[in-house]
Amino acid sequence: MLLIKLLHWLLGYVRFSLSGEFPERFMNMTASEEISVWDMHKQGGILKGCVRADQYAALRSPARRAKGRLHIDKKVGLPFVLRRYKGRPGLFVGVIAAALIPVVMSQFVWRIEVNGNVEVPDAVIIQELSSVGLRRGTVGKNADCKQLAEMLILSDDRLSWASIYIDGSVAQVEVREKVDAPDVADDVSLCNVVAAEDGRIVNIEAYRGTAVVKVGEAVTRGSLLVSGTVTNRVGGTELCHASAKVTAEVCHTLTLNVPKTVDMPADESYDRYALRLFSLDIPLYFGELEGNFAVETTPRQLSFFGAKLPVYLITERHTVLENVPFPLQDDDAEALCTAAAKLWALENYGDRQAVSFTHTLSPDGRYTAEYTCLEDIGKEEPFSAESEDTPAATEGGSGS
Amino acid sequence: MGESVSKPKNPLTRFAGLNEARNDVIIEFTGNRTVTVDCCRGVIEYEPSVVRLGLPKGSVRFMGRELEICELNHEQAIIRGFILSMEFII
Repeated sequence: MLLIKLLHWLLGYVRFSLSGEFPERFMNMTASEEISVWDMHKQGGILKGCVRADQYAALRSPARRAKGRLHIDKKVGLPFVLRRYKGRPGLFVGVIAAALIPVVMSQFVWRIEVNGNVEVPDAVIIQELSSVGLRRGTVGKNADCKQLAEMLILSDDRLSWASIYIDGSVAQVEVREKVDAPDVADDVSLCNVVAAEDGRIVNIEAYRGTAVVKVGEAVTRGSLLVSGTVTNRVGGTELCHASAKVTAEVCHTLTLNVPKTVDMPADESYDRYALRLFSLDIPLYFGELEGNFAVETTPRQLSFFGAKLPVYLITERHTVLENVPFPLQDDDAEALCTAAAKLWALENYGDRQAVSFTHTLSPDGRYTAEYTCLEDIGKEEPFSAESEDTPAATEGGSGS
Repeated sequence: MGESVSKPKNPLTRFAGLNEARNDVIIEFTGNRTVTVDCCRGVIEYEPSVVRLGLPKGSVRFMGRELEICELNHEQAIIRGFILSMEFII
């Protein structure tokens, strides 16, 4: 019954009333002419009923022959609803689009979730996935997950295993990272100890091999410090794995330019928003800003009841930059540069014993800081026993 | 009325053999709310309290309250309402 009602509504029907003296004759004629009429009842002496919209015109003849007057009470059904909105095509397009968009969009991958990684950041894995062919907007049905997982492992040495599973529009990426085997101390292979940095030798502790430099000598990068050639008790020559701790004074230089003018952020700033829909940025503003700005972009992924959507709200904070003369005097500028240089020295060479820290500020605004510290500059460099360039042969050249 | 019912115009109906005039009347009640009359030959009288339908031989009268003809075609009539009694008129 419900299905019949639904069918009537989809096809459209008309509620009519017939006033006249011979409603029975009217009924018989509609039946004989195969006009589908239903729900006929009398109300106050008037016959009421329903007829399909496309058959209403056919009712006129039986009504006239039954000496009755036909009147439309109500038009019901989808065709009449559609006719009401006939002049609004956008509405139909919207309805069709609303029905189609979820179907079409669910075919694509819009979110990539990475699990199981500790050292390798999510962003790196997503970037590598993008390079092997899985990114936001990829058609999920066409993605070969097994092959993509293999390509992901090959693209990053830090990964040992990966699995990709596409569930609707979400790609679940499960990875395992490699556990590196511990380094085995190599004290068998032949090698020399050479200088890794320029410096002045302060102390040499040669555990194996022959020291070819003395304390107080200056060496350059690559100079031979301890040779892997030793002379045995009977005067013969043996090759070995040289090992030594060579402490030297090493000077590190930092150069800074004190600018004449500087871009200073003003108190004035503008927030502009954009909507990143799938892979498309839709600006929510008009026109372009003119001037010098520092732009800070903050993307925020929108969510719907906890489910993350492939839509980002991008906030662009444009801070006005004013080009002003460098605000500090020479003394203050030097102090500022010195503070920066000390911070640099602490960050880069904080674990080493400091010897001296000198700095100069030239009139043209060039600040130079020299930080001297003690460090082990010995570096093992392998050599081959068959090589013509034996340690003994190179000794003279590199020791100078 | 009666045997002089016209042939259906719908070719599908004719193909199905429903054009053959039948004389076996089937009256089917669902409680006292609905009655289906097969081989109906038309409506002779209709009021909310009484419905009289033509049959190949004679007629049948249903009496009750708020009677309405839900469906009527050249072969069948469905009457709905509160049916109190039925009477054959030969």
